[in-house]
Order: sequence, then C-alpha cells, then structure tokens
Amino acid sequence: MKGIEYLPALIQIVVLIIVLAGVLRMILRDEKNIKAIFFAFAIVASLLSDIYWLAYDILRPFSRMPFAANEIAEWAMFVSLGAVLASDIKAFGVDARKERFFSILFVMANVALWIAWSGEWVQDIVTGFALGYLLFYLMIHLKQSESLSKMEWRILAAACIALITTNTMTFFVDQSLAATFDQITGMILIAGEIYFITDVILEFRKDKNPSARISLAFALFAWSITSMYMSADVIYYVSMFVSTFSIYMMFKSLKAEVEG
Amino acid sequence: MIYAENILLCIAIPLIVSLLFIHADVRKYVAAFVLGMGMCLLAAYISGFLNLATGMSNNDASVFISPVVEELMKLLPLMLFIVLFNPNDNTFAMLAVAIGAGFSTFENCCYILTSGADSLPYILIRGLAVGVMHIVSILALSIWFIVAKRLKVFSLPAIAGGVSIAMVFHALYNLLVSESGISSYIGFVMPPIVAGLLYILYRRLSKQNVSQN
Repeated sequence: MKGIEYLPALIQIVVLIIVLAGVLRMILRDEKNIKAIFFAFAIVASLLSDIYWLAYDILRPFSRMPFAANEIAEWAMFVSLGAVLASDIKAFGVDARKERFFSILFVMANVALWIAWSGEWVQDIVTGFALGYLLFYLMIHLKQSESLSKMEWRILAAACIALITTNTMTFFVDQSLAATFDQITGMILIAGEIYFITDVILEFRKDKNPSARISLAFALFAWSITSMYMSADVIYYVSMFVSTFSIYMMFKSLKAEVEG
Repeated sequence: MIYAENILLCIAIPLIVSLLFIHADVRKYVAAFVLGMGMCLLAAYISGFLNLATGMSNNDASVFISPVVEELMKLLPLMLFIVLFNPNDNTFAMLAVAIGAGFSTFENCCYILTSGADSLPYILIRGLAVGVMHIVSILALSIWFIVAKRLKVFSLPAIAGGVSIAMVFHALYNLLVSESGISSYIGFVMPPIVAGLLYILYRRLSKQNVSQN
C-alpha cells in the first residue's frame, strides 16, 4: 500500500522533469526571459522538494522530520513563483489595495491555523511569509489581468472566509461536529479546485488574454497548495494531483505568452 | 575530541603569511580560501550548539541542521564580497569556488583527524563527494547571482530562492549518504555530476562575459 502513497509524488516528479525541460528550452531561446528563469527556479525547487520527501520517506519511514529541508524548497518555490508574477507587473498602477490586504489577512489566518495544528512556530511563520509573497503578487496580477469578475471576487472572498471559519470552529466544538466542519472545508476546497480548473481551461480555449491565463493558472496552483496545507488523506492527494496539473498549466501559460 | 581552532590556525597561518608575497587574483583566491575555512569553523560551532540545544543525534543534525547552517555561513562572505567590492563576474565565481574549497578542505581535515585516513577508497569518495559538494553548491549560487545581476533581478527573493535551493541540495546529499547502500552511492555521484553540468554553464557564462567586454 505504501507504493500507492508515493504515486502522486512520482507523477509530480515526472511532470516537473518534463516542464523543466520545456522551460530550459524557453531560456535557451531567449536568455533574458526573466519569467522563464524564475519559473525554472521554482520548478527546480519543487523537484528537489519532492525528491527529498520521497528519499526521506523511503530511507526513514517511521521517523518524523523535526525540520524538513523540503519545506525550505517550498519556500524557495513560492518566492520564485511570486517573482515570476512580480516581473510581469509593470507598476502598482492597478488599484488592488483591498485584495492585497485580504490576501495578507488570509495568510495570517492560515499561519495561525497551521501553528494550532502542528505547533511548529518558526516553519509555519516562514512558510506564511513565502506564501504571502506569492499571494500578494497574485492578487495584483489577477486584478491587472481582469481575470475575475466582481462577482467572482466576492465568491472567492466568501470561500476564503468560510474556509477559515470552518477550520477555526473545529477547535471549539465536539468531535462529531468537528468532523462535519472538516467535511464542509473539504467540499469548499474541492469546489474551489473544480472552479479554477474550469476557469483555466475555458481561458485557454478563449485564447484572448495571455495575462489572464497566467493569472488563473497561478491562482489554481495557490488554491491547490492551500488545499494541501488544510487537508489530509483523500483531499490531500486529490489536491496534489491538482497542484501537478496547475504546474503544467502555469508552464503552458508562460509558453503561450512567449510564442504569442 | 579534536581542537578544531588549533587545526585552523595551523593551516591558516602559512596561507595568511603567503598573502604578503602573492598578488592579484591569486591573493584574492587564497584570502577567500582562508575565509572559507573560518566559515567552516563557525558553522561547526553553530551546528554543535543547535545540536545540543535540540537534543538531536549527530546523524539527524547532519541531515537537518548542518545543511542550513553551512549554506548560510557560505553565503555570508559571498554577500560581503558583493556589497563591499562588487567584483566582476569571473572574480566573483572564483571567490565563490575558493570559499567552497576552503570550507571543504577544513571539514575534510577535521574529519580525517577524527576518523582516520587508513582507507584510501573511502578518503577518495570523501574528497570527490563532500569536497566537491561544497564547491558545487556555492558555485551554483554564485552563478545564479551573476545571472540575476545581469538581468537586474538581484533582489531579496532571488537571494532567498538561491540559498534555499543550495540548502535543499546539500540536505538531499546528506540524507542520501546518511544511510548505507544504494542511496549513499546515488549521493556520492550527485556532486561530481552537478559539477560537470556547472562547468558547462560556467564556460558558457564566461564566453558571454568575454563577448560583452
């Protein structure tokens, strides 16, 4: 049964290698493509993270990681992906104050929940900074590319608030009710993933706004990461598959932009 | 028990004296080499302290603590060179290699004094794996810094991202060699392979540098 647990990570490693080869080809064609360079960096970090996690689980199956190096790789990945988006934003001309403020609040609430779950203060706070950096620029990019309508922004905000609320409630209610709240969290997470997958695919079909494709692919990635950090078992593995898909879509969106 | 400070003094004093009689790039190389050895000693102090503070075993500390501390300590002189001297690309890469070489040389000296040098195959593996690994991780970091500076994206995210990848590479190596068997063989061949890839990349960057000048 242990082999099945490795399957999502193995698939992700294969996809990451394919994507890395594609990004390196993009860099060789244009060595000044900053977005491709930062993206390649993020892919290398993600690849190292997966390999480290796999190696650790195989070599030391029953020992807990007190301080995991793959977390450092995840920080590098978030920061590099944030840098991809930052390099695509011309100036802070677009008014995204509300969204940026909300993203910081959302990350802070997430960090509080991670600490409550794991008790690992330092790792969780640093992860919060790295993820916060990514979400901060994602919000500006989403706003700049006009990828979401006003109604979609409202739904996204409501979903984020609902996630934080249901997760927080699990600490204050009895076990049976906590399980119900967990199920609601899972449903919101999966619904969000389905929504963003559909949005990304539809945006690719429209073939009109390259910037919106990048925004939505990165948003799908951010949502899948949030889902992975908030869930366990089945939803965790489903979110990992979604995360793998989003990595490929991020690559496709960057490639499509270069090829015009 | 070895007296690492005494070993450092013993190796560093002739090198420091030699600085008086050498010039230009050779002087820079030797100075950075000594600095690398000093950083290795400082890294050992900090890792040792954290090891005691967290109560980890030596094996666990080498997997979890050492990579983070050692890569940070190697980053410090690299940042110092950038901030104070802003060296050109070739000099910067050379200084990075010297720091890595000094770091691994001192680490190897201490290791040999602790564990003995009777097994030539093991000593060769140690030299080719750990020795090269320290050079590879800092050279990769310096190449990334050179690229980032050329593209005008040398910023906190670029530095943090770069050093994080160096840490994970180092941690992966330490994890793989911490267990005997096939994983350790994979770990041992990792640094020479990456060194080969970096050599190709370094040559490419050097050619670009020459054509730009």
